[in-house]
Amino acid sequence: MAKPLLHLTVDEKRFAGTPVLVGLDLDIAPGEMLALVGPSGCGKSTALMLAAGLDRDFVGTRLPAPGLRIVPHFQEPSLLPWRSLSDNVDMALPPAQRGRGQARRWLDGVELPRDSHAQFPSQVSLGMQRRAALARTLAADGDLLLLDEPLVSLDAALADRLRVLLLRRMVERQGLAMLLVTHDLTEAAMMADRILVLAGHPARVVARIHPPGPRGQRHGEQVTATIRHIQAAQSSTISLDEAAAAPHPSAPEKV
Amino acid sequence: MARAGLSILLILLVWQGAALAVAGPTLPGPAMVATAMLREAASGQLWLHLGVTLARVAAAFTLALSIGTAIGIAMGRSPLLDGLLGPWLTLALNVPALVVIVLAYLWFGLTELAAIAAVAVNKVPNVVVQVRAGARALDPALSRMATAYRFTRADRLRHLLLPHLSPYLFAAARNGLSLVWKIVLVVELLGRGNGVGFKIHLAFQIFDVATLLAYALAFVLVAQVIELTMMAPLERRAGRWRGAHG
Repeated sequence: MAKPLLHLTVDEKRFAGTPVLVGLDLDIAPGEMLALVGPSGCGKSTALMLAAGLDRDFVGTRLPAPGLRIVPHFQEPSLLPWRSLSDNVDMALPPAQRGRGQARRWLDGVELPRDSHAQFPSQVSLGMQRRAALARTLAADGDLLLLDEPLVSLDAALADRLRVLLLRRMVERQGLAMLLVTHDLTEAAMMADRILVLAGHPARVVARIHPPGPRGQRHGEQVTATIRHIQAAQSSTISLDEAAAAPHPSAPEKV
Repeated sequence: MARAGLSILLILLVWQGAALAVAGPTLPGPAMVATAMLREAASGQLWLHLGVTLARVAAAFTLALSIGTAIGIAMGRSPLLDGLLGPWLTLALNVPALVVIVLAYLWFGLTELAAIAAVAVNKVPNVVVQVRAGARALDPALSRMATAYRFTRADRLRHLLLPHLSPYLFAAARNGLSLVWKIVLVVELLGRGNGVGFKIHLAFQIFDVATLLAYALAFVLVAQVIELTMMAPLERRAGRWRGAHG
């Protein structure tokens, strides 16, 4: 593997004294799509905040490559309510590109109709706000995008087209890497180069999967096999957790 | 609009009735006050003193709003500063305006600067309280977004803090204008040789209630004009984004 863009090891992360994440280590290489999957509320979003460097209160190490430009994409759109959709995107562009109508191109990319570009976030639906936020994330021209459920609650056909958009962007901008946090196993199985499976309470990595075939071009059987692999890892963890009343955070199992 | 007109007419009738009942110089009727106002306007006195007072109000208001906003933002965003300055803020809110004015004149002389500073000092704590409440209410998700997108300090102020604070700033400005002009009158009464407060002082000494009311009324009218032509349109403009969900 090429020199990683980001190396993150989390030995322990607590919330209000309770450990929520006890075993996570990941490296992301340039040009790589890494998926972090697990059930809702298992600590995926927490892991993403740690990777972004927005939460530094944990035991472990975080080593970004020098000069690395990380762009986090949160689940809630977090658009400035007093700026139009296109102004929100414009602000994320590199300074030299601002104010030149480039924002429109990114909003077109996520299929937001032209007449919505000048509207304020409160004037459009939540789904449209989410798409505008995705346009902003792509416009920011980062080296590493940290995507927290970016396509959640969008209709299936649109979500598929936006997945293609994300993968195409990785081809256009050589070396662009993404960490995709998702509870959608199919999404992970189709798009990711590698998959980390989080499970348990507190959460830890229970499996590392390299799906067969090139990302975005896998056929049905390959995807199904990968999903089965993820599910097997998750269910074995659940039975282990049930067997041991107090799991040992110091000894995360290696799969 | 019709209701407002009716309401004004009603007040004028009650006023006229009371003036007729009192039938003395202590309560002149609307016609007498209007005559006094026209007389002062024709002689140029009204515009001179109104102008001077308005300039003092503008200076003290601008000063108080800028200093108060800066301190309010700092206290709202930094628990340390809030802890250090909080008790003094409570104290400052309760210092009588008159004490500040008298001390300012005693320490710095009967100067224009002392007058304006005294008014500003009286207003700053109110602005701080309002802006601090606004700064505390900033959405943490937006704040995190600004960090993630590496907003510069200037960007953060221009695109995040000030738009978020605008309703709080408008509230502070509204209260500010009414409070500041009342205090400016006291400052003028105590130590200036011109302005509406000075004229009211003169009218008081010769029991000229008609002139006194004429000046007071003139300033209230000016304040209304400022509200209608500046505050309200600016506020509408700043609040455009609060659209209905569509």
